[in-house]
Amino acid sequence: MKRFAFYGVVLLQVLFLAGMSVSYYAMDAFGQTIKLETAPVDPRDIFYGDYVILNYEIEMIEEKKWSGEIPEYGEAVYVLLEESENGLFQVVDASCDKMETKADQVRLKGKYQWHNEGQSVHQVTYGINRYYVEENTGKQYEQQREEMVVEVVVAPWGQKKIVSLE
Amino acid sequence: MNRQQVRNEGNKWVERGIIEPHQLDEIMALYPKRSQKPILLTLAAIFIGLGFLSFIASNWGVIPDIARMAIIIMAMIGFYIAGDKVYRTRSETVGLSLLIIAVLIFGSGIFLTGQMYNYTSFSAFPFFVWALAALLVFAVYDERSLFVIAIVITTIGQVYSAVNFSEFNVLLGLLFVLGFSHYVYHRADWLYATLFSLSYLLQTVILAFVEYQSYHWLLVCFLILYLIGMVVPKEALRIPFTKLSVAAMFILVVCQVFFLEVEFFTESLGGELVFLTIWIVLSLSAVFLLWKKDHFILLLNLVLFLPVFYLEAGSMVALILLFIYSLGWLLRGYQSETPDIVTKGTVAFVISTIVAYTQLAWDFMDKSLFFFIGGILLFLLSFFLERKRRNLSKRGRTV
Repeated sequence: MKRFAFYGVVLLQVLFLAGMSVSYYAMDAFGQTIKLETAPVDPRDIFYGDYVILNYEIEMIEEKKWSGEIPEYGEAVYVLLEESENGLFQVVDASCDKMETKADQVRLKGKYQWHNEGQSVHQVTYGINRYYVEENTGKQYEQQREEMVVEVVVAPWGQKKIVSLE
Repeated sequence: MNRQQVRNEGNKWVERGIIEPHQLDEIMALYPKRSQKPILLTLAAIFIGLGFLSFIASNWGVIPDIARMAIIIMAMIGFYIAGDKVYRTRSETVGLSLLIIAVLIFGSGIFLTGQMYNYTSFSAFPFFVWALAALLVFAVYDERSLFVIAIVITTIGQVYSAVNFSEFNVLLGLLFVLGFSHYVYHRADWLYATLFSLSYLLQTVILAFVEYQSYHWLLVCFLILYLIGMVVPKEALRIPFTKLSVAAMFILVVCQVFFLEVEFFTESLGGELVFLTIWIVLSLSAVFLLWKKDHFILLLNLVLFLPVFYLEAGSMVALILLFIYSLGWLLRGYQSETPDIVTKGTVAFVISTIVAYTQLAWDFMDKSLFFFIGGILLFLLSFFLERKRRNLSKRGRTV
């Protein structure tokens, strides 16, 4: 019994790590790629090596695009994106409810941050604000002050990952 | 005298025929082999785990993704299997160290994989998975060092959640309340109970400040720990639970002395009715328990749990509570001639005096005068109390 429990516990941990890896590759097969606009900065975190902090255009949602009630800090929100003429995805609708997506729309799940009254926008985050780069190569992004384009893959099961930064 | 010295001396006595060999064996039985403390080996395990983490992390760039995954998983499996085998056949301590490394590799593996694949992260969920794994490993072996690792991971995860995401991680909280409490209760180990209490106090602070921005619920949280301590029939749980909750409450009252003067704190209190109801029910049960056990002296502890923030002069009343508590225990200590209680009362009294002095004199006095007079006051106080205490321990010895 104890032997069984030991191997079970080890197996679960192996499966978890392997699962993280597998779902990453599965996203390429089943997910949809979208392009987003940004502006970066570059600090360090003790748990990770070097990474770039990314802020996105779509994290600032104009008041008029918000439907339904305004949530509290940290609550889950859903945002519908649509591709504009320049190939970048823009916000069309945002709400606390899971909205239906039309054919060419993508739905992202995020967390509500705060209401910026000065700019009349609602700030949300999608949890894709960190892009990891190889040790000591983050500097090139630090110098970069103009906006970049980030390629993000969104899986049907809600997972997101950053594919590239240009 | 240690065991080796006894053995050496004993051998001489046997040679001279003073004692018989079997008598030496009986004497030796009085000096049991000291169990080797696993602290050094545990530290060694942690260092190797950290070394592994930083080595892999710094050479990470040149290894392809799949190979990295393989390194992490193989290393983890290797340390688990080796640890398990060594634990069962050779040395429990070494085996445990290897198992601890395996747990650390799993944790670093989660973070490294997340980094490798640019995983999105909204919460301390990775810490939850890690803490859960650590708790399961502990459940298999039932060893203290594994418990320590598991509860430390859980607590760090909660702090990480508070710092990075400004939220109390509910999953970690549930794991703590449902998972850890089971082992704390059934093993009835003072170390488990102490760590559990400390983690509980820290997590309630995070819950109160990060999630609700209202510190007054801490009173209820601390009181719950105190009550549980009173109710549990096991000594090993009762002492850490009650002592640590009272200590935490003492600190909270000290904070109240300073903060209750600030308007923000008095105005931000919410949920009055619910709070009062819960507080009254808990306090009444505590008083009832004391009455049933005829331990009225412990009312001195409960004094600290009064909700002074409802009063206009809350800061002043909090200060008075500190003095009731410390003087009460000081007198009790002298009356019952128990040095431990006298020491507790003395420490509490000195702290209360410093708080009162700082609170009352800081605004009115020149700063150098403040420290100068404060120093003299403390000196006199310590001289007086120390003399009392010495008299007491002298008397204690002669009686």
